[in-house]
Order: sequence, then C-alpha cells, then structure tokens
Amino acid sequence: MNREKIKKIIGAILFLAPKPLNLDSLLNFITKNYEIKKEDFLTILNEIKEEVKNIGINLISDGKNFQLVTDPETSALVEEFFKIEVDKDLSLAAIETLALVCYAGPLTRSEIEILRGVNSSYILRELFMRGLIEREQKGGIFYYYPSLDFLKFFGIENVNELPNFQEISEKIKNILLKFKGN
Amino acid sequence: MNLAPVVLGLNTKNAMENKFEVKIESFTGPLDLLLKLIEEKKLEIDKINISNLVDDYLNYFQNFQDKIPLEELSDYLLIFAKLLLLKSAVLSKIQIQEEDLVVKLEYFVQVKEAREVLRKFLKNSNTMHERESFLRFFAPPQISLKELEISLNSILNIPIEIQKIEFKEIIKIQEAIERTLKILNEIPEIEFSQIVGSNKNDQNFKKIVIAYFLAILTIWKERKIEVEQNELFGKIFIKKSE
Repeated sequence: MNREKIKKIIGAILFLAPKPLNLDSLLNFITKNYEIKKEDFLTILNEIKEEVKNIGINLISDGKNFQLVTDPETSALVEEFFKIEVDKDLSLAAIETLALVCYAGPLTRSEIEILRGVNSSYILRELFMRGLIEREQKGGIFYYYPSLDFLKFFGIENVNELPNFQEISEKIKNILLKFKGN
Repeated sequence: MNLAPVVLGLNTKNAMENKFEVKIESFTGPLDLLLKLIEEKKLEIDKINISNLVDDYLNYFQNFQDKIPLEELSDYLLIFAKLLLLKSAVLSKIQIQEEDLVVKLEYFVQVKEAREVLRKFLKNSNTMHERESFLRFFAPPQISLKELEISLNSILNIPIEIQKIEFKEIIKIQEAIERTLKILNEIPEIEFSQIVGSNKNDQNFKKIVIAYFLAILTIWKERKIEVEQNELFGKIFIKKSE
C-alpha cells in the first residue's frame, strides 16, 4: 500500500520547505508518481497536522498554501535559543487598517477609507510591502486580506481566532452596509 | 445635532500644553483626531462644543501638517471645513442639516474599538516561526580569524577589469518624458509596453525601455501619473493622475 509512503514523502517535503507550499502543485507532483485522489491527499495532510502537534509543530494553511511552523506556545524559548528578535512594532494607523482587514476583510481600499475617514493608499502600500496583507484582483478592483505571514507572525491559524471576532466583524460590516445604502 | 452653547475664544494655555503632548503616532486620521479632542473634553459626541473644537483642531493641525502624509492632508482639510461650517452655523444661529460628521464619528468609535482589541491581542501574541527565519551564515567551526583575513584579502585583491563603455545617445530622457505625457494626454490609461512599442529586434530596444522607464519614474515623482504593478516583472500600468 502506497498511502504510508505518500504520507512520508509529503511530511519530508513539508519539513524541508522554507516557504509555504502550494497545495495544488504538491498534489500534482505526488500524482505524477503515485495514484492519489485529492480528498485522500487532504486527509493525509490532516493526519500530519494532528501528528506533528505533539512535537510543537503546527501545520497551517490559508486554503491554498500550507506550511510547517513552530507552535506559538513554544515561541519564547525558541526565540531565546535561536536568539531571534521579533519586532512587533506597528503604528496605530497600521493596526487600525489591519484590524479592518482582519475582522471584515477582504475589503477594497475605498471601503477601508470609508471606515477610517482618511486616505489609506499609503498605509496599505506599507502593509503590503511588509507582507502583512495580500490582495486579490476581482473585476479590476483590489481586495485586501491578511496574509499567511501575518497569521504566523501573530500566532493564529485563522482570523476567526481573534478576540470577539464574530461581534466586531458584524459591527464593521454593518457600518459599510449603511454607507453603501446611502 | 445638539449643539452646545457657543464659547468664543480658546483657552490658549490648555491648547499650548496639548500641542507638545500629542505625537502624530497617537492618532490615525482626522476622525481619530476629532475623537481625541472630544474625549479630552469628556463630552458625548452629540454634545460637541463646536467652537472650541474648531480651534483645537486647527491647533493640532497646524502643528502636525508637515508630518501628515500628503495623501491624507485633504481628508484633514475636509473635516476642518465641515467643522468650520458647523461653527459658522452656530454663530449665525442658522439651522443646518449636518449629521453626517456625527454619524461618521459614531461609526469611527467602533473602528477604534476594533483597533484597540487587535492592538492588545498583537501585543501579547506569540509568533509561529518557520524554517526560513533560520537560514543564516554559519562559519565552519575550525576557521580562524587569520584565515578569514587571508580569504578576504584574496577576494579584495582580485583585479577588477573595468570595461570602457562608449555612450551613444539614442533618446533623451526629456524627450521620453514629453512623448509619454503626450501619449497619456490621448490615452489616459496605458500599459508600459504600449508606450515603448514592441520592436524588440531594434538593437536599441533595451536602451529605449530604460529611457522610458526613467521618464515614467520622473513623471511619477512629480505626481502627474499613478503607476501600478501587480507582481514582480508583471505589466506596469500607467494612469494619468486626476
């Protein structure tokens, strides 16, 4: 049976990968050598995710890419051991914009500007350059959303792990609805 | 909106003190600044003393205008204009319909709350590290300082051959600028390759591309155009500024 072998290969590739791996391209690569359905492939990924948890490693994903990272619980000592300095200094304007993008994203620039009451092209460019947000173009308009790097940086796997996610998310979306209704 | 009685004149002592306490970092836009001023006065949003507020706002604004990014200046001015309108209405006792600003402020309170929640969360968050962060240079353990010095010197002593390059003028940047502006006058939104043309067999093609690229940078610096590129080596879109 190939399943155990495939699992080992996926695990090894994930272990060596220095950046997030694209789900489809890894699946394509595996299917060149072994027969496997996408759903089985995803099941294997989930199994790996569960198994590595025990040794302080998280398998995180944004739906398209996935990557092995350290468990945030371990970060203090990991940082001490490797002498890593984490600079979490962000300006208030940056945090404000990130908050909107995280709680109510994907958002367009004009939506962000409605909410902040100030031109935000400058701050969006800065956040984009720092890799904290990403954008996707739909119908000629850019939609901004938090990047996988942002999630890693702040130790969450999904934005809905943020405090009061549901409540704040609805509040902000409601404001936008009211403005669009006008 | 419920306008409080007009108080003419400003408590200048107070304003002077505030001036030096607040850093630009401590507010994120005109609405945030306005809220801050209202909070300092411990007032409800719908009971703003417009007169005082206008003066305070102007004070802050004058103090920080050179630190405010150019893109944001007009937003500050817009709010200031709205405040002035409100103030003049109060002074001349004219009833005007101006709830827009109050509504915006009330909404902004929620944005600010979201920001504070995230700020606290980020402050106490723990980073998930990835392999990449550990890629760094490791010197072989047995290497000595002397050996490093020898190696470094041997690299530094490699003669560098400087080739003489002869410059031949193909196109002046100024010319490229003028041509680009002329094209943009006819077609306000265009892609870079459309400007330089596609004659890749022309032996000067590379130089023409460079000239136009420098021209675009120059025009962009003068804020006459907006430039957008969505990915590395992707298409460059050039748009005439409004």
